[in-house]
Amino acid sequence: MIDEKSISSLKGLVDSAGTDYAEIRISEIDKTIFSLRGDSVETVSSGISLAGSVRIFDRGNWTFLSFNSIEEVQNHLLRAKELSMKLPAQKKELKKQSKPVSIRKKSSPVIDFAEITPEQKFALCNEYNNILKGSPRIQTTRTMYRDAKSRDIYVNSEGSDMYYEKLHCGVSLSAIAKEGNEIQTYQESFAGYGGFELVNNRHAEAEKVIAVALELLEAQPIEGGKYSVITDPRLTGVFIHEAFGHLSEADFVYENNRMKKLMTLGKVFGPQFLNVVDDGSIEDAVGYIPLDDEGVEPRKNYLIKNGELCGRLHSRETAGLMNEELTGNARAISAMAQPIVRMTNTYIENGKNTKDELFEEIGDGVYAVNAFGGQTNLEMFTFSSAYGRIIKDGKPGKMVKNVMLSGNVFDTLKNVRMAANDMQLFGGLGGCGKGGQGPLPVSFGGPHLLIDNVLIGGNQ
Amino acid sequence: MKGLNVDFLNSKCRWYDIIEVESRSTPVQFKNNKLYSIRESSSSGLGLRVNSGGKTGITYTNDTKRVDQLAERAVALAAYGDKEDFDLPCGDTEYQRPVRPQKKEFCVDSEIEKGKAVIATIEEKYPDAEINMSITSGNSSSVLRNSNGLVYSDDSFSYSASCSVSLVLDDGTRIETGTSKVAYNPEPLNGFSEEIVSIIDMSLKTAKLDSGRIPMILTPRALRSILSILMGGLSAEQIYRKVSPYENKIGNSIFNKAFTLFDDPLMKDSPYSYGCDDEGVASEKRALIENGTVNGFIADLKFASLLGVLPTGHSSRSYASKPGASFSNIEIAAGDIPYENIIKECSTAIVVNQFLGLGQSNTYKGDFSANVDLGFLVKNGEIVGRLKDCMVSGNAFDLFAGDIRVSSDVKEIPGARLPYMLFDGVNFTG
Repeated sequence: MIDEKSISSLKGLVDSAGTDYAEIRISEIDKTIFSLRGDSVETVSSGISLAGSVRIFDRGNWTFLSFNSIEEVQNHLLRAKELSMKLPAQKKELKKQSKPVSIRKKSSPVIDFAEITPEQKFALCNEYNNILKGSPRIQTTRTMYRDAKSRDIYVNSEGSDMYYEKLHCGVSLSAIAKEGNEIQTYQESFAGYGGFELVNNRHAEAEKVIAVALELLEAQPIEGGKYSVITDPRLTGVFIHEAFGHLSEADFVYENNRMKKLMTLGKVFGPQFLNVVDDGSIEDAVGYIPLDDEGVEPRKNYLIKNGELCGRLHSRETAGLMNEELTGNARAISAMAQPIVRMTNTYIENGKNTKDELFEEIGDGVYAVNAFGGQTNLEMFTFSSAYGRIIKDGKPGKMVKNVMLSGNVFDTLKNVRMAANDMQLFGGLGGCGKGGQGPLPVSFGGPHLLIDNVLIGGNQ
Repeated sequence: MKGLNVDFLNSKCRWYDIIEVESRSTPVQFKNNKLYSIRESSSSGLGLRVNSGGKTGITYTNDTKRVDQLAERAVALAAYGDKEDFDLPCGDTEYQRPVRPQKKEFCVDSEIEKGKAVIATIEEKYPDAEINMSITSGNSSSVLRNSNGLVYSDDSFSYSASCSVSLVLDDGTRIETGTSKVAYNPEPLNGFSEEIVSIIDMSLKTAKLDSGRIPMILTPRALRSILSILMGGLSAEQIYRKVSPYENKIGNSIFNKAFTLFDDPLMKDSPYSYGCDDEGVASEKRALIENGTVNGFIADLKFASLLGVLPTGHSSRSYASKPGASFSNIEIAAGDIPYENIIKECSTAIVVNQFLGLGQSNTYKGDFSANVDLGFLVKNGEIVGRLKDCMVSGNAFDLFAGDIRVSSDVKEIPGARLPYMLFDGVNFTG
């Protein structure tokens, strides 16, 4: 078992590494999964994993070694130095922290899941699953419960260190409804850093999952075309994460002159009321980090303020290359993966209008609710709404399905006509994928938004 | 396996199996046109699945000091598991092993030179292109043991390379493309720069097309994405759970006769090939769809047993996960017309090379709606320009049931050997 006492010996190793920069990350995760599908049990599993890595920066190059033989960390550090010598020297400098930080952090659950018996966890899954199965038109369901207790150690040659005992708990609920050849699915997921309280008392949400899945069976596909759209807070979150958040990750920008030009700070990206934030320091959000995976403290970073581009997300390397401040956004999916620039908790701040005012303003359009996912190539984005409702004279009406929204990032941000004042943050058991690392826990959100000229695919 | 309490397992379990894996990889990474990092990754782990009291539990660790805790933990968990009546394969099962070449050395220095050469060739024509590359050598070994006396061990190795390029034009248009290959041993990478430069060349000129129904040609890369929708229901689990569109359609002709789809776990020259799946079942090539008829599906031990069919040798698992059926190497039988001629015969069509957001639709039914990330307009038998800011939507089952043309030229992409295909119509929204 790894513990806080290991920190001093690991610090000794990075201090004597003889490289421009060195860091060691080690973690131990004890994870339990119960998963039910329809009338059967899908998975019952539990296990303990170790993960470790050393990363050095020397003569302008990175060398990274990952392993689970953590007792051999000293040998891995030596091997990293040996491999590093194969790389030709480059002129590159990392941004340094102004002062070292030392973090000792422990999740404070209301109900520690270690004190909940497997019988109780299993019984809760069964309660939710029975709700999800509550109609003959539900073909199958999936209820998954996952808890993980981890101990993370971080040390670097700047003198920073961290010991973090983290509890993560979540549940995902999905129902697949079927009638004739029609199959529709709907799901919700809840997770966070804490204990059993995060997954307890979610019966109302399970009721919603089955209700939406059944209603989707009756829904007609939306007609393709350009629409004015009101996005609900969850879809607003997926939109800002996919369409703009990834564009703010400086590793996409720093050595591409044309991207730099497109992403010039001060450039107007949207209406005056548009404020976009990424903030890894929000403790009760899924994207919370006490330190990023390069030992940098998270902070509230405005990416767009009053409609103008005012910041981006950095690692030590990109901040050094662009001579901008560190933001605490270098993250890795596990201690065996290399940190890259990632989002944390990304959201659009509240506007001044009420949700009702947005519906009055739109007249006719589409209310796009919840999201199955999204993808971007930095210029274009696509995200799928779980379902939509046709808005007539300001009133959301019949449900429509297959609502896949797509557009150009820059145009769409400018097409945001109004923002409501009902911001919410979301995050479940899933997460964000980039560079083969996913799902990374992130949260996303915002208020209801009214956006014009959104392209939706489908029959004409 | 040292430390595992086998006596306890023998006394408490109807059966059990143990998978031990070890892997090592060395990726050389280029980022933003420059050599960026060298990595080495090594990992190992042990997974234990037990059937105790007729129910199954799974536990795992990669900490050698904790192997002694696994047996009791797995048996305790099995109390909550699913009832599973099947038996594990016996020790006398016969396997056909994939034919693997002699392993060649992976030389970091020469791979660095290969990467630099690819980047230099692309930069020569497109100096503003942002190029990322990864060249990786991988080695893995696994041992599967079970309580019926089966012991199957395998050592494999691979070489993989990928290159992605993005180019932002003066008007803000972004061209994103890439290519990749997987082989057993290091190979020349000259083809990478040629392929990428020719795609960028084609993408410089843009074209416009009105919304409506339009024939669509898919390149092997885009075809692989659409196939994922089609193949999702070809598993015993989906059929058992009655959420597969193929339920009650096995043996029925529901696709165009020109469409034949194989899964081949023993495909020559593919490092994804294997002789025995992760539950100990022997692998063999199967026609899942033959001349338009749904021939079969893939099945692991559990869902084969529940459906009363034989397992197909497609079970896959990491040491930390439960086994589940997954496809190995996918192959579509080639047609009789060169890709070039398919294009020539089209008066108006679109060619899609890559989609954005394809998997987000309601894929249970085969519906898709995706942005055309990289696509081209064909007019009077020629590619006339790139289509931007547009989407296509349709139903994958309808596409393969309708009129299709399959090219005679076939391309290898990681885990698949696929032709180009022409489909008679999708909804285009521009």
